[in-house]
Amino acid sequence: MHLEHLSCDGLRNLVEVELSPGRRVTLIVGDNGEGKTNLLEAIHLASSLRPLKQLERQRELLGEGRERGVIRARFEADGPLPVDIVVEGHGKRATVAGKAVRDASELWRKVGVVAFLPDENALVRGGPELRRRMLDRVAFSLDPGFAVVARRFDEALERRNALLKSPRVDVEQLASYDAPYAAAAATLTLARAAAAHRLAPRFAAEARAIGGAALDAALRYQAALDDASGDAGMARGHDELAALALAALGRAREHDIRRRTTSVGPHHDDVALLTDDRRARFLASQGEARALVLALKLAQLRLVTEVRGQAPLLLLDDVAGELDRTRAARLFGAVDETGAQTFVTATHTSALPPLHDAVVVHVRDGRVTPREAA
Amino acid sequence: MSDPIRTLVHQLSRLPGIGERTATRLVHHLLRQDRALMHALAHSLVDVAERVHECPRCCLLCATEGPCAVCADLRRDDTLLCVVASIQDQAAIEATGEMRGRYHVLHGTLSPLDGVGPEEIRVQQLLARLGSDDRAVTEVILATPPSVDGEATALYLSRQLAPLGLKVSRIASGVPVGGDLQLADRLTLSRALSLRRVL
Ligand SMILES: [Zn+2]
Repeated sequence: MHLEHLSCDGLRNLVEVELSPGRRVTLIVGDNGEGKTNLLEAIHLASSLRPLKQLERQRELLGEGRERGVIRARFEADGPLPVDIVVEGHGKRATVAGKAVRDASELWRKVGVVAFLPDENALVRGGPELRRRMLDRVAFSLDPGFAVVARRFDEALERRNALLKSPRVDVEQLASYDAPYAAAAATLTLARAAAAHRLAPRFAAEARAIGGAALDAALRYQAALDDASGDAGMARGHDELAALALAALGRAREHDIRRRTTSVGPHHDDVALLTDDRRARFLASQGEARALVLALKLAQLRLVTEVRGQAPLLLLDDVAGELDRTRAARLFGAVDETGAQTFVTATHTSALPPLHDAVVVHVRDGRVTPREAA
Repeated sequence: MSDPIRTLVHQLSRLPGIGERTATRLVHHLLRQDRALMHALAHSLVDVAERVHECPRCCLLCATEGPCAVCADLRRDDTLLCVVASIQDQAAIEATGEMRGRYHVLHGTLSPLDGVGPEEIRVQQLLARLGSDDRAVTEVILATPPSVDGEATALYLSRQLAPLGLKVSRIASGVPVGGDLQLADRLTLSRALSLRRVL
């Protein structure tokens, strides 16, 4: 699977872009603010229907004074696969192979994308929410049915919290939501545990590939429902976990009523990233944190590739900053091994190790011009 | 004097799924037809408004005086009572032909997001009938939907019913999670009924 051609106009600052990327690496060069990341945004939207990062408002995706942005992408995925997206102020419309689509799972099965952004060190050094979201994306990529599991838990949590926020909490009603909540929590925990179990060894391997033998990194899912969970995945079955959750809800009831929110459940899960058996969150340097984030991304890419038999696209935005030359060279070695069609942005080609077969394009003021291969 | 056309458009547009444009189109369509159609429609509306009521026993909607046809049917199994969230769900279960007992319609489920609690659905009516007219019931089947709210409603009812010492069962979750009883096919629904488990 690869992207053969992308046309884009009106998305952020992009103007009349025509991009014919390389089969392996496309290097997107330009000064800051000229539109390199916006080009990645267009590729990301075309391959997942989702923006590169969360938006405050849909309008952010549109160029100044533009009413609509248009992306036309042509993928090659066991035959030509055209994806057309129109972004407007209030929403977007997409057609895949000429058919209107409402959710991304169909496209995800065929295309898929893994993206690295420079401000993602928070994944290592920040709070658990970003890591949970990362793990959920992995679980979704292993099985799009995960969306139903996650939604069921969100629904149960939302209802339980609504009861806890009512002026006089009806304990009988609250107790009636405990069992469906516990069941949904157990299902979500097991799905996350399965995803973490598959991600962990790949993460350790990619961390070694980028950071060298000295970077001894591990990933451990820490399920709020069961602190006995470990590397071996979830030792407990669904019913046992649900019973644990139910008992914990009972013990926390008074506390939850006072605090007006549910304290027990997988919304408090974490994914511990460890280096030398200690939490990287508090110890990692910026460079080390970046290496770990990249290892996470490559691990996701590997896992998706194994599940689907073909690599998704890989987007690396300003990846060279804060990585020393050795790590950068190792990174591109590891990227090359994945076989994924890769898009890399940089201010100068000299910031990157030599990349063979790279197609180089230049971005200036939202316009893209091809350049000679480096 | 208010404009009768505009009043009718306004009233129709308050119906679910009907915006002002559709309402306007409907009214102009009616105006082009024989006026008898409008009289017949108005008559039907008045008839439904005046005669259709909730059955005093099971809360199904019916137009007969007193109990509905299901409650009046002497051949039904008086020991079995199936609790459903809606009239549509009752119809779906009835269509399987597997349910030989009687029904109770809650007209909703618990729904904390909409502020719907036990007082807003027909829970009191259920407890009341089990303590009076329906003392013969030995098993209550809870057939609320498999949604989070439907599950919680079933659990709420099972706790309320516990003191009565009846067998309380829940339909099997053959219906897809988050699914709708009305959308489940007949075979799935009859399986869900026959594989019900005791709570
Ligand atoms: Zn009746």
